[in-house]
Amino acid sequence: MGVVTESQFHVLAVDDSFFDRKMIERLLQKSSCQVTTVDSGSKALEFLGLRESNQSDDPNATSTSPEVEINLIITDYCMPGMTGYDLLKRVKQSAAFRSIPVVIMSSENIPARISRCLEEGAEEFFLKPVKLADLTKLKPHMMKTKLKKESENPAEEVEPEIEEEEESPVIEILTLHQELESEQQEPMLTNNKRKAMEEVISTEFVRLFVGMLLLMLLNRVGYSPNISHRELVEMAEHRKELEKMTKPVVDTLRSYQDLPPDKALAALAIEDKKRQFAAAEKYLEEVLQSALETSDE
Amino acid sequence: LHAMNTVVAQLQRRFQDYLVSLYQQGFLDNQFTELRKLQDEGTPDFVAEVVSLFFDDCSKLINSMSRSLERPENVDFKQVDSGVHQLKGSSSSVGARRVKNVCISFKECCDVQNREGCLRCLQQVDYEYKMLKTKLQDLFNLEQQIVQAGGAIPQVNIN
Repeated sequence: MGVVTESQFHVLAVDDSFFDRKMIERLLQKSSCQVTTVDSGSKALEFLGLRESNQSDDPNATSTSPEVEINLIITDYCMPGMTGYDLLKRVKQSAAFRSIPVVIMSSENIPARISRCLEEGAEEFFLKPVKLADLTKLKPHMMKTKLKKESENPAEEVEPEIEEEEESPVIEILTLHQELESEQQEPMLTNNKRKAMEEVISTEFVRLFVGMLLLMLLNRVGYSPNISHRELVEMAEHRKELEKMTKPVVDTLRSYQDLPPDKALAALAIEDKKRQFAAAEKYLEEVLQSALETSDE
Repeated sequence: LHAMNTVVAQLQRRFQDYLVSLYQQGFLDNQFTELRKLQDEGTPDFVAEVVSLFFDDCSKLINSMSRSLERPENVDFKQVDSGVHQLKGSSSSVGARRVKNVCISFKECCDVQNREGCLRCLQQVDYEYKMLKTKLQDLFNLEQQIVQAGGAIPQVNIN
């Protein structure tokens, strides 16, 4: 079928359903990835080299199979015993493996679940059935770990300090550039990420709004609940924080009012990436500047 | 040689028409197209294998759900719900549209613990999967005939 080359991505797929494992395996193979499938979260941890009951905070924990380098973990959410969410947490808590991107799959579209996973550090959330097109979105994430790993093993030892500093911003820019390019070519945030963003923003606002509305109504009918001054202050601060958090998003969204929602959010994502890109460029400039200055002395 | 070419062309035409009709009649949906994308020269039996797995799952799950629903005074709705969930997932992955739709109603009956409704849905699921099994068997037979006649399986675009 294909020669196994060193530069292929290796994905660890976790699903308790034999049928789903077969599907995801074929999908990944068709996307030119090497695949290892396991049927539970605990087997996934075993494969990585983390034992279930073990000290996950042990910084010295290394993979029992050091020659197997995993570039991505894709896992089902609903599994008996350890759920995909539990597995995600374990991976992100581990110093050795937290850099591995994790993708969650689920057959149920539950916004709270999606945002919980994204908040915990999942790169993407796919609704089943997963399609080939979904997997193309994973390439940039897997690239990051590959490039990072390659930068961690510099060929020469000569001036390793400066070399490392110069390499990582370049790598960051490279991957950001790739992401930017692919975003621009396919101007559509994953449906799920977009939905999750919308849900988080709207549920937070709705919660606060409903809470305040209720208070107002209760006040009207003469009921003054015992809310301490502190709680009121907290609510006001929370509202301010929310506004601050969402202001740039809302402003940009307003400026894209005439665009259909999908394009608007996609444009927002592109703006965001441009900002990251500019910041990375600026950082690189600074590093180069300081390197120049020190070499002038 | 000319005669062989006409035979292949005819078979290909029959295959194409049959496949399109399955979509039009709602037996299959877009996910089946996605499934066919995963098949290539290296894995020529992928779709047939997956579909066969699916039908085996259907048979097993329907049997176990039937047992759970058997005695009206002692229905294990949790077990039924789990079975419907699995069936809905796999039918969705395969593109078995009618089966999937029955599963949606089935889940609703299960949620409100409606035993009669569940039994009706169970019967329907059984009917639908067996119907689809026959249809797909016919489709695979056509594929076989094309290959045996030396032709290639046409890429069918569904609008």
